Amino acid sequence: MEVTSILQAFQVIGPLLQGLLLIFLAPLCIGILSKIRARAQGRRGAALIQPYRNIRKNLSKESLVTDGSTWIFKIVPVLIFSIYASIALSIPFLIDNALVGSEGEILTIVFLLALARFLITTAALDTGTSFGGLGASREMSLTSLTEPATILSVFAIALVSGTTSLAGIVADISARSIFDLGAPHVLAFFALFIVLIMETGRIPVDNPTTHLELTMIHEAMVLEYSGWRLALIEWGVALKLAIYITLLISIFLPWGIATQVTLMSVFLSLIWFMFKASILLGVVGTLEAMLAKLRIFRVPDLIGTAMMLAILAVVTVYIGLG
Amino acid sequence: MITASSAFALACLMLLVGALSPLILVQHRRAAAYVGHYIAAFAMIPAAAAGWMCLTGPEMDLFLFSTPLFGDVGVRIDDLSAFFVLLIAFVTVAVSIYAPRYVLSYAGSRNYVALTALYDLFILSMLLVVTMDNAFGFILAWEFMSLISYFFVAFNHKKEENVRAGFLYLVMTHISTAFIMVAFLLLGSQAGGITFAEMSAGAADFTGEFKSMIFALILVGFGIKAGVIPLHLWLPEAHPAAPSHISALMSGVMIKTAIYGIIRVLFDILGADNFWWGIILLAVGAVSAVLGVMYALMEHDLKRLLAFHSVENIGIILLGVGAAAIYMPSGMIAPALLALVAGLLHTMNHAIFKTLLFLGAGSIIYSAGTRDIEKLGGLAKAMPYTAALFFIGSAAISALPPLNGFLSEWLTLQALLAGTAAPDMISRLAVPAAAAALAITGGFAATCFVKAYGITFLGRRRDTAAAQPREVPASMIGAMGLLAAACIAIGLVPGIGIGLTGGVAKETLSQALVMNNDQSATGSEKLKAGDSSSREGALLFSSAPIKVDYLSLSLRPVGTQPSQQARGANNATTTISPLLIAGLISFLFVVIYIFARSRGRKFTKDPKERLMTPWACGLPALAPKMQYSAGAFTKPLRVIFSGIYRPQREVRINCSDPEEPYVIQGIHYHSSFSPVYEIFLYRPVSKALIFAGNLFGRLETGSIHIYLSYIFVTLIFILVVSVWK
Repeated sequence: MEVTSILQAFQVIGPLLQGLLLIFLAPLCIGILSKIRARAQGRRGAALIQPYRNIRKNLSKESLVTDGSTWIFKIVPVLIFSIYASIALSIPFLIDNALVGSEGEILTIVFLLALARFLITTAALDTGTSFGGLGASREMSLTSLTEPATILSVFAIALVSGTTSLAGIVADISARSIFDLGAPHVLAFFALFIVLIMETGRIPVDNPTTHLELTMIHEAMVLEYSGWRLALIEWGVALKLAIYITLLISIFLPWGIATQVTLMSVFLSLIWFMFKASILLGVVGTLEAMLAKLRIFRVPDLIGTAMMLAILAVVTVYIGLG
Repeated sequence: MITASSAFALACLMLLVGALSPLILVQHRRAAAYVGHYIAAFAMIPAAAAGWMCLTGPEMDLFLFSTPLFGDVGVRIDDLSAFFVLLIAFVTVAVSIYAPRYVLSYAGSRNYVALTALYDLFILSMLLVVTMDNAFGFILAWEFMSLISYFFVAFNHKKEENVRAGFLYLVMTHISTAFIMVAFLLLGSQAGGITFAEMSAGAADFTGEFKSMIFALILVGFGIKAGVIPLHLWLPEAHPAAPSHISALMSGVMIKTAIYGIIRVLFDILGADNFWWGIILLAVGAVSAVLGVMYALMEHDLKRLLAFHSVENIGIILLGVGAAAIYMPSGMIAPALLALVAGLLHTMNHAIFKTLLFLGAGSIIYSAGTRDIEKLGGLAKAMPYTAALFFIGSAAISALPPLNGFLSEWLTLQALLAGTAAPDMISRLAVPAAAAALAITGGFAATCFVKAYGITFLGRRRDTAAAQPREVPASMIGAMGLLAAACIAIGLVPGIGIGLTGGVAKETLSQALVMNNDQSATGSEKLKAGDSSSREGALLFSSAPIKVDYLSLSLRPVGTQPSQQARGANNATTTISPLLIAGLISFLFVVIYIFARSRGRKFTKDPKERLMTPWACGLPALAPKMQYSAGAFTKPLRVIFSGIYRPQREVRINCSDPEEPYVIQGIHYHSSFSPVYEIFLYRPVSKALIFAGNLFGRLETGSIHIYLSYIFVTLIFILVVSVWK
């Protein structure tokens, strides 16, 4: 009797815990990437939990406000963190439903990410400095080019699964065998992987570890932030990376996800998830260590590649390779 | 009991009175402006009531007058007309509240009388365009509307560019009328009647080629008015030239009457039974959307920028309408319904946020005196309300959740996704391409509005020499607030938008369906069949693809291919709930803000946040000049797409002494670009015209004898021809 009521309670708070777990695990992703990079360069690198320490330090600091800025500058770090958090609460990755099922719809997530981007670039212009404008201009120019690749990949996935709802896709794909997925999924995966590199601002598109380098994109936008606002922005960046990794896992590699909420199955699902996430992060980190940053006007070629892959993904569904 | 027809007649009468009022009150400047515009606002109450009655109840007919040649001319409001009447009414209310103060500051001279009187007539003509039941009446109202809007464009005729814009508009709009007139005359002569109902009834006897020809004529005719690329040439010239509240009406509703015309002819009269028309509309829509937004990006004149965004949004609307026209002939009724709902919803949304943005631009002109983005900056400090409302409009047009633009673009994408199940390969390839175009359009639109809002309202004032701008009067803010509230409400509660457009789309499609289902029936039989169409329609749409309660919107899966369905792909519905998303984000926002702020304050006792000046790269202080300009902001895209923009730039360095090239006195930078459509379409046409003109010019010798001999030769020629016959 008691066990069932606990289970029932878990049915409700399970999805909530799942989302919170993603939010709190997110800085770890950054830690893992830095570690991989340090090791590849022959350094020992900072501890895996260094991003948490940074966030904790900044959270307890006063946040200075740029002279002449408006309310946008003040609220945007909190607002974009809330947007990312709400997306995190809507992705099923441990159990096959999410807290906000109705939001767990890929197109809506794409639009919500666009909203966050709109807000942070506006905040960058709010400072009235040249660096803010520089970052905002580059961010908007490059990311608006990735949208078609994203949408076409979503089309390919939705064509196979018949829905753009994440829960629906997870249920559909996890019911199939891995060998049942053909060319469309492989192509869409690589297209979205390039989009991930683009949107999270990793090398070869942007170097997240530089401040005051004339090639920077994201750092230029958030240059004026300090204290707890900076902490939220850094956490937000980590969360965005975690969201993309989780989306890739849930859409393309959902096997192992718990279909029933029992402690054992959720635990196993978590192990599977960590395993898949570390592999993806490993690939991102290795690429970072191996590649140099691209010239900014070479980046559209990379986006073109993603676009081609996405077009091929849709076409391969049509010619029956799905 | 007030009937719809009496309410509509009352609205028309009130508008006529409103048009006369400034002429009577000509001595009282303020009173004329207020009375003329407020009567228009009050006239919208009966107009909206008539629209609402026709939308929820039966259609309405109102006889106006009889002509010897073209039969009875009357007003007929069916669901489609009612939808556009409601749209015009809502936008007009907001603009009429806004207008008096703006007009008083804009029209310094006595011209405000003409401006106010024409305003009421303009509203009346638009109402009549969307309600006329007869091609003759339609053309009459259409021409009326075009001429009045020409007066607005040429209103500020002291500036030469406005006169040029007015002339261009006059020429283009008459080419448009000519095409529509030819189409209607052909339709009327083939169908044996000039009312829309007779044309629709006669359509069964039309051949496919004839219908396609009509479609082509209609596409060009209405395409010019709607401003689709490459026929949009007049639009970015005319909209900035008109006073801002008129630009808002022109962009918000006038160009939508062309969308009304396309839907009316395509679905109601032609029956949308050829999917190639849909493909063409989709292609035109995609090109307009992408190129429209790309040229908008390069514009630094706020009103020209907004005008190009109208081109873009007309493109997005045509994506929805075109998709519906592709699906209808293939029997994909549910996706067609979804697509038409998306198109109509975007029509409505664009009318609202574009009006809001144009009124915002008007407020900027009102208080800062310029619409050049490069000279503005930091306006949010001086005009906080205008800034906040413009921000909402910017976010809505960029399709950001949870505002209304998001809802219609999301529906359009879902409707395009549904098209991947089309039976023929051409549609199946066209539809994802259109979706990709829509995606890049969304990205560019967001970029453009980050620029438009950020450079105009944020940062520091660039033109420090100009007078300090002040916030606009409360009535202007209130009008914009009304529109912004509508953007939010339609976005948060999908039931409003879907409720308004769903029935219209159903009615329009079932009309087309009935026409296609009994091809063999003769005209008169078909008119009768039209009465039972609603029953048949109800049967067809019992499995509607959209389910909406006031909080959320669900789509049944429509994108699955038959093969996949056979394989047993799941039947999960796709649901979104903007209200839930917005609620969750706001909840998280409040919690995180309180938490983070209190933690961050632990070590400071100061209740206010400390201000600091940003680092000026080693210089003494930040100057407004150091900020990113609008030109700099869009530079990356100008470089990436130099193949499309074909930019030219000129840098001139002035040295005091040519011997000393290192002592620079000033650098002059000029950049421009030439649009592709001008190079490849308009330049050859205008060259050919000028060439032909020169050729014919040789005939004109200036000598009266030669001219007399021309007349003589012509007479002989006509005589010979007539005898020959």
